[in-house]
Amino acid sequence: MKFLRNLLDKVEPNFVGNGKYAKFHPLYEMADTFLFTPADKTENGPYIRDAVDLKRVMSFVVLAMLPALFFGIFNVGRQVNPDAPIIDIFLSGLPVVLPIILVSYVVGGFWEMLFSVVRKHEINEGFLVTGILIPLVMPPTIPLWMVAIATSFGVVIGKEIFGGTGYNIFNPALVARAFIFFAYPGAISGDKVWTVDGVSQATPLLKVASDQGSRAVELLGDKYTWWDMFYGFIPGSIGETSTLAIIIGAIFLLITRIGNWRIMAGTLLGMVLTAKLANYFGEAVSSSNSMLFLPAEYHLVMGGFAFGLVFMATDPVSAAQTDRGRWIYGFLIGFMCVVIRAINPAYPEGMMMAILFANAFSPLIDYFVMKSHIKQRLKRFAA
Amino acid sequence: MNIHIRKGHDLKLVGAPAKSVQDINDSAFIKLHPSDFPGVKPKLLVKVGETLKKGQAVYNDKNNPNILFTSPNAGIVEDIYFGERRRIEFITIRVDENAGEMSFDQYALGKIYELDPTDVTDILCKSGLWPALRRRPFSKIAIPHLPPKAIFISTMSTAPFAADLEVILDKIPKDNIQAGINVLQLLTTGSVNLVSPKKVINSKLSELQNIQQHTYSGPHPSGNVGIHVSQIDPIKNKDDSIWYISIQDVGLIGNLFLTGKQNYRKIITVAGSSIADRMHYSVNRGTLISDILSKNKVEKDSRIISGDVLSGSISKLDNAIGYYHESLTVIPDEINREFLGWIGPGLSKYSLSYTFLSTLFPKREKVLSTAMNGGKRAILPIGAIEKVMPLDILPTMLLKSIIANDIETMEQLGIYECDPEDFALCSFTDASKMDITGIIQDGLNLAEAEG
Repeated sequence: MKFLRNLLDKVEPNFVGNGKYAKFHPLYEMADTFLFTPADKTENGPYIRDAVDLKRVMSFVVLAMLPALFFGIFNVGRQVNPDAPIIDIFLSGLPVVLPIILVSYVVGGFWEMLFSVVRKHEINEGFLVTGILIPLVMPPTIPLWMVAIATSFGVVIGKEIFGGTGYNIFNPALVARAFIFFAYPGAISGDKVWTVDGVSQATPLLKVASDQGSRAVELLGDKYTWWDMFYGFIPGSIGETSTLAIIIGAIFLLITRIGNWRIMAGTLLGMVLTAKLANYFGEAVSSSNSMLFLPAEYHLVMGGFAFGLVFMATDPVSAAQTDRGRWIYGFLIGFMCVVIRAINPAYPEGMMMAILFANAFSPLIDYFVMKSHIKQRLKRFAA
Repeated sequence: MNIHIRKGHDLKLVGAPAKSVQDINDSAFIKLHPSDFPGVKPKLLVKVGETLKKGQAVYNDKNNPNILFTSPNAGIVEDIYFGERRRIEFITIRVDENAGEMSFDQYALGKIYELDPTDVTDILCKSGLWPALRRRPFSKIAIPHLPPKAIFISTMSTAPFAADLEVILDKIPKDNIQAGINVLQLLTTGSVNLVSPKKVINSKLSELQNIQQHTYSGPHPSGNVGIHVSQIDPIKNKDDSIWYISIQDVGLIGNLFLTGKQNYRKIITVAGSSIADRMHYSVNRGTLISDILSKNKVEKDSRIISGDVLSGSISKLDNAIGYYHESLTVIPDEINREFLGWIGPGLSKYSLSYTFLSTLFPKREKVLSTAMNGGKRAILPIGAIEKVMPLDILPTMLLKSIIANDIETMEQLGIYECDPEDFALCSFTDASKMDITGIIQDGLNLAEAEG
C-alpha cells in the first residue's frame, strides 16, 4: 500500500494550486480518499470525530441492496436457462444485468464528475446508491440506451440542478424510472417487458388488475402463489421481485441504523390500513374492481412495494426530516400506493408514483411538524 | 429535582486523569488573553514596565468599562503583544511576589445578606471575578445591574476528562461556597440553583443553605448548564436571561468577601492519550501551559487543547490556560491514513453509528486523534444527530433556518436555548462532517445582532 500512497503523493502537486490538472482536483480527491482515509484534521471543536462518513453510509446502503441484486440476477437467469444448475442460472443472468449496471454507473458517474469539476466540490458518494438503484427498478429487457438517457435525466434534472446530493427534492432513481415510464411507456409497462425469454408474461399485479369482477387472489390462481411472490420467482423489475431478499437488506439497514425505521414502519402501516379499508369498502359496495379486494399481505409481496419501502422511501434527503414527519411521510406512501393500485387499473404499479408524490409533500409535512413543535414550545413556556 | 436525560453519549476515551492533585506554583511569567472573553473589546489600563499588584486591573471592556480584568499575580508588565488590526493577543506579566496585592473589605458570613446589590456588583467588577459570571443566551460575560431571572451554579461537566467534583470540593472551604451563594443571591430576583451529579453525595453540598439544589443523571451533555436551564427555568426569548458560574468561582467569590483578599487559583485536569502524568492540578489563572506541563511528557505530534476535547480551544505551550477552562487535553495530531478504511470492519473505530464492528464492544476506551474521518458533505438527515440532542429542539430544522439566515424561524425554534457546546456531540457524530457547533454559533451571532 506504501507504493500506492507514494504514487498518490507524487502526482498530487499536479492537481492542486497551479498544477497542470488543478481543475480536476475532485477526481484526485476521489481516488485519494477512496483508497486512504482522508488526511483532514479538525479545526474547531469538537476536536475528535466519529469514524463514520458518507462513504461508509452510502456503501452500506449498496451492501444492503446486494441480496436483492443477486436474486435479481438469478431470477433473470432462470428465465433464460431455467433447468440449469444454480451457478449456471446465475451466470446466465449476469450478461443481462451487468451491462445495465455498468451503463448506469458510467453515465451517472460522468455527470457526477462533470458537476463536481465545474462546481469545484468533492465528488459525492450519493451516486453509489443511485447508480445501483436505477438498474434494480428497470425491467431486464430495458434497452441500454434508454438506461443511459434515464440515468442522465435522473442525475441532472432529478438532482444536480437542485445543487447535488442533499439538495434534491425527488429521489433521483425514481425520477429516472418515471422518465422512462412517461417517455417510453412501452418499455416499462404491459406484459411484454418483464422477462428476457421472449414469452409475454404479466406481472402478478397486472394479472390482478386486468380482470374485473373477481376476487384478486383467485385471479392469481396457481400461477403465482403468495410464497412464489415472497421468494421472488415472478416476472418484474430486476431487483424488486424477491421480498425475502429485500427483507434481508431491510434488516441490515435497520441494524446499522442507516434506514429510518419510522419511515419503514409508517409505510407498512399506511399500506396495511389502507388495504384493509379498501377490502372493506369493496365488500360494502360490491365493487367489481378486483384490486380493491387484494389483501395487505399480497400488496406487500407484489410489485415494487417492498423494494420502494426499504430502499426508496428511506432516502433521507427526499424524505421528511423530522421524526414525526417521517411517520406521516411513510404513512402517506403506503396509503397512496394502495390507492393508486386500486383505483387506477391502467397503471397497477403504484409505488413509484406514491413515493414521488410523498417526496413532493415532505417539505410541507416538515413545515407542519415544525409549526406544531413551535406551538408546543410556546405552550410549555406559558405553563 | 433530578434532571435525567437519555439522549446523549459519554465518550469513552483513553487518558482519564487520576484524582490526585498537584500544585503548580513557581511560574516566572503569566499571560492574559482577552480572546478568552467573546464580545469583549479590551482597553489597556497599563503600560509595559509598569508594576502591578496582585488583583490590579490590566484592561477593561470598552462596552462595559466597569468590568475590570485583573492580574492574577503581582509582577511587572513584560510585554503586550498586538496581532492583526492591533488586536491585543496577550499581555505577559513577569511574576514578582513582592509587588503586593489589592485588598477589599472583609464581611462576616452572616453579614453578606445585608449588603447592597450595587455595592456587591462593584466589588465583583473591581476584583476581576465578575467575568466568571456568564449569561445565557450567548454565553458572554454577565451585564452588571441587569439582574437575571435565575443564576445556575454548575459543578461538574460530563465532557471527557472533567475535573472531579469531589476533588474540587475537597479544596474549597464550605464557608467560601456558602458566602459565594449569599453574594449571588443578592444579584438575582429569582433563585440561585446548584446542579450536581446525582452520584456525588457530599456534605459540603447538602449542608448549603439559601439555594435550590438539583441533580442530574444520564450521558453527556447532562452536565451542561444549557440542559439544566431548559429543564428548570427555560430561556423563552432574547430578553430572558440567566447567569451561570462554576462552583470553583463561587468559592473564589466567597473567599473574596470573607477575607478581603483575592485568590484566582482553580483545579484543572491534565488529561488525554498523548500526555504521561494525567491528574488534577491546582493552578493560578494565567498560568502558562508550558509551566503546567513542565515536568510532564507530551508525545510528539500532539495537539494541546485548552478546555475539553469537545468545546475547548486549540492552544500551545506558550499560551495560558483559558479563563473558563477546567481541563487541559492533549490528543494525537497525527493521522494514520488507512487503506480502504471506509469499508474495513472497523474493530478499533469509535463511532456512534452502528456501521463498525466495534459497536459490539461499546465499553472499550479508545484513542482518538484530530482526524475528521471523512469529507465535508451537504446535510444528510439520517436521524443521527437527533439521538444526541436532549433539548426540546428540532436540530435539522434549526440548522436549516440558520443556514438560510431566517432569524424569525430560528427564534421560534428556540435558538436562545442553544449553545454550541450542547451541539458538540451532533458535530461529533454527523456523517456529513458539518460544522454544526459553528453553525449554531453563527445563528446566535446573527440573532444577537439582528434578532
